[in-house]
Amino acid sequence: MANEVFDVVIVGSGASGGWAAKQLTESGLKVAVLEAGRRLDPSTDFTEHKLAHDMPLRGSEHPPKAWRDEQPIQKLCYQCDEYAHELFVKDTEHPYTTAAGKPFQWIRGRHVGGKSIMWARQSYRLSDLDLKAASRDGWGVDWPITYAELAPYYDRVENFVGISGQAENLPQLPDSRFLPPMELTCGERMLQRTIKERFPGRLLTIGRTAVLTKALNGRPACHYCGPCGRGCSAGSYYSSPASTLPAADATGKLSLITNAVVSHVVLDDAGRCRSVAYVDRMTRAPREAFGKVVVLCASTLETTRILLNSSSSRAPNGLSNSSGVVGKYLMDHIMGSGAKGTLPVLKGIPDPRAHRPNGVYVPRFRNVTDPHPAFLRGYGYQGSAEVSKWAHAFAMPGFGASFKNAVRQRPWTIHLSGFGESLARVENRCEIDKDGRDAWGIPVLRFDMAFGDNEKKMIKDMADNAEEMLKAAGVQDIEREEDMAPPGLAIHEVGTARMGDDPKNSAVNRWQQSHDVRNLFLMDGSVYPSSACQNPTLTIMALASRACDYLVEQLRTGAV
Amino acid sequence: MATPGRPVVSRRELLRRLGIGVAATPVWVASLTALAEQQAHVHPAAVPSVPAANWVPKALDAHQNETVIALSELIIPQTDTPGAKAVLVNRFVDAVLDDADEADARAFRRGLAWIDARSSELFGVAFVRATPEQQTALLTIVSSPANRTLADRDGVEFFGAIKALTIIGYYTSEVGMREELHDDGQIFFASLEGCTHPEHGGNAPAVLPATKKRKS
Repeated sequence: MANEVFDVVIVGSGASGGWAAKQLTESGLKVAVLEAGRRLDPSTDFTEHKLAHDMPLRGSEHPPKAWRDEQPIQKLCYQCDEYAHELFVKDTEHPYTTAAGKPFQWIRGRHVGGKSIMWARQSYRLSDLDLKAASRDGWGVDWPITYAELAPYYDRVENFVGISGQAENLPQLPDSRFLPPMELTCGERMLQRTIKERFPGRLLTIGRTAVLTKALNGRPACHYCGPCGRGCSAGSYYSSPASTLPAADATGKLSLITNAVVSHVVLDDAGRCRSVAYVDRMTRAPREAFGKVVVLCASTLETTRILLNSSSSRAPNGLSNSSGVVGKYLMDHIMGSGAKGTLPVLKGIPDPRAHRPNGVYVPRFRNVTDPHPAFLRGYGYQGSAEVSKWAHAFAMPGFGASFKNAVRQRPWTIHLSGFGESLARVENRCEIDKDGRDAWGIPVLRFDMAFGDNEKKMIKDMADNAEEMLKAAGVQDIEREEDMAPPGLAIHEVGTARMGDDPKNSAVNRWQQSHDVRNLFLMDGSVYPSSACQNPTLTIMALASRACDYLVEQLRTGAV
Repeated sequence: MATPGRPVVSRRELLRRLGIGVAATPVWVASLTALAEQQAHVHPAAVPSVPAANWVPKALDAHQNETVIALSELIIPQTDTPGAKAVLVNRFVDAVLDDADEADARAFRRGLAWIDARSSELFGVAFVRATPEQQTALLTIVSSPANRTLADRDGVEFFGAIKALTIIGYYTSEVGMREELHDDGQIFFASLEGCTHPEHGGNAPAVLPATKKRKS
């Protein structure tokens, strides 16, 4: 294999790398996928069927000490707990730096499947309200494509991946090709009815999630064990190793190269991509994978790091960066604001939710029709209503038999948490920190990012409206939450190599092909011109599918 | 002993419900099949795990361990279901302390010492030698949210810690989960039921024609 030249070398095996691998191999192309980590073995690496008492620390929300000290950033992620922390990187091996006083929390997983193993699976389409937002309110740039152009690729991805949800016919949140929706609980029904009756222009719907409610393409329906983020032995939610990568493998055209820590892209004398340089994770030996085309699916920030680390005399500011936008316009969703409370009216009614791996969604209602006076763009709420099993005991006073007995009265709890758009700002950026190296000697990123005034106003509105809707539904003991998590922690980081028609202010064209280097494509969240407020993975996959169609055609006609 | 009210589902039936046919079976499903089989046959008839007989604390000394046992049982006592002592909450507390950052473990040991010191002051004996009434009286002092006394500050803080650990250790234990929470640990469900109360806005339970009713 030493000097084998692949048709396409894909960097990254996660949600979008899996899609690119499937589609390109099914088109007859010979494809190598470079993955920085190892293959996971569901029988030993996944812990979704373990109960708390199977774990030494009963499923502590943090990793055990030996790992905790090596995961000071990763442990901040809700999913990086005693069960699942080994699915996250060690920060000690994967350092990065930040500007003074500006924290950025970069959550990462390096293994076959990437974050598609630990993701929260919520899947929502964008609409022209998002794609053409700049034309409506004047901030930033439009996407170079319309919803009509993207819709067929959403269809294609959804038909293979499987998205369960309820059609609502909303212009701002187009319906997917849905599998049957999951059911709402009693508390969620009550809130749904209240919102419908008392808040015109708003509604509550079951979460749209990449979890199978019936068998699809050889993958079994969900068996509702609950904790998806620890891996799924059944492959019942979308992860690339459970669906797209096996499809790619079945063509006989896929070479999956694991433990390949990519450092940079190498150009030939004509300025075209020649190969991808990587370091063997185990031996530290330098290696090279040759391809006629290079596709970066390494995740928004890793793709940007690779581009910036690929600078040369021909591209002194980094690869595909003649515009200077690479690393700039970094975005993540704002979160941390909402409200929660209890529903005493449901006292004694059992919780039908069981282990439903999904919540509810209140789609965006701000700046959909009328402009909001305080801020641009909008947010959606995610939430749920369920019976607390025993966590309410922490807040209950006393001890002894009366305390134990009182804990048996299990309250219905309900919460709404906002996820909002952050505006694209040129000053929110990452660049190479020349003084930093990771465990493989590769220069690291330095982040300089902060949310602004628009985001702060939106955070307040999220708390106000969550409180108001819960109050109207009869929720008691309401607690407002009006925090803003540091950027990165929503793990919806996008931007930093945006797509556009103008090579002067974008890194890639409408087909996600580099303006500067014709045989280089970016197929992950790095190409987002604006963040919208919907969870990004579904759109990233649809975009990748669309870009792959174009790439195949370009190869067929010899244009690339 | 099978869990009451939960029929043992045959492997064939379980796999059918999960939609795993005999046809194309992805590699990943093999491990699920094994788990499903285990769940169907082993779990409902689960043999309770036997606690290690030769256990010794790692983070606590023998006296501290006895104090933790006494405190945890006072917080969640044996009633019509087992208490914290029976489900060995002390072993969980020891495991947490052994894993904790040193400053946290030190603060916890300081709290245990505070309890003994206050017990000696009030009753002339260490906490574990005090009568149940005396122990309850001491905990009543430190468990009161209204207690802002400076001299009790460390004790109030410590009580918050031991109470939280007792809650976690008890309700996540095998016995606590089964007997107190009536949670049999089932992790395979063929479907999820939603709200069936029209008064909440839900759909009334569907009445299926007799011919379509599924056999249980």
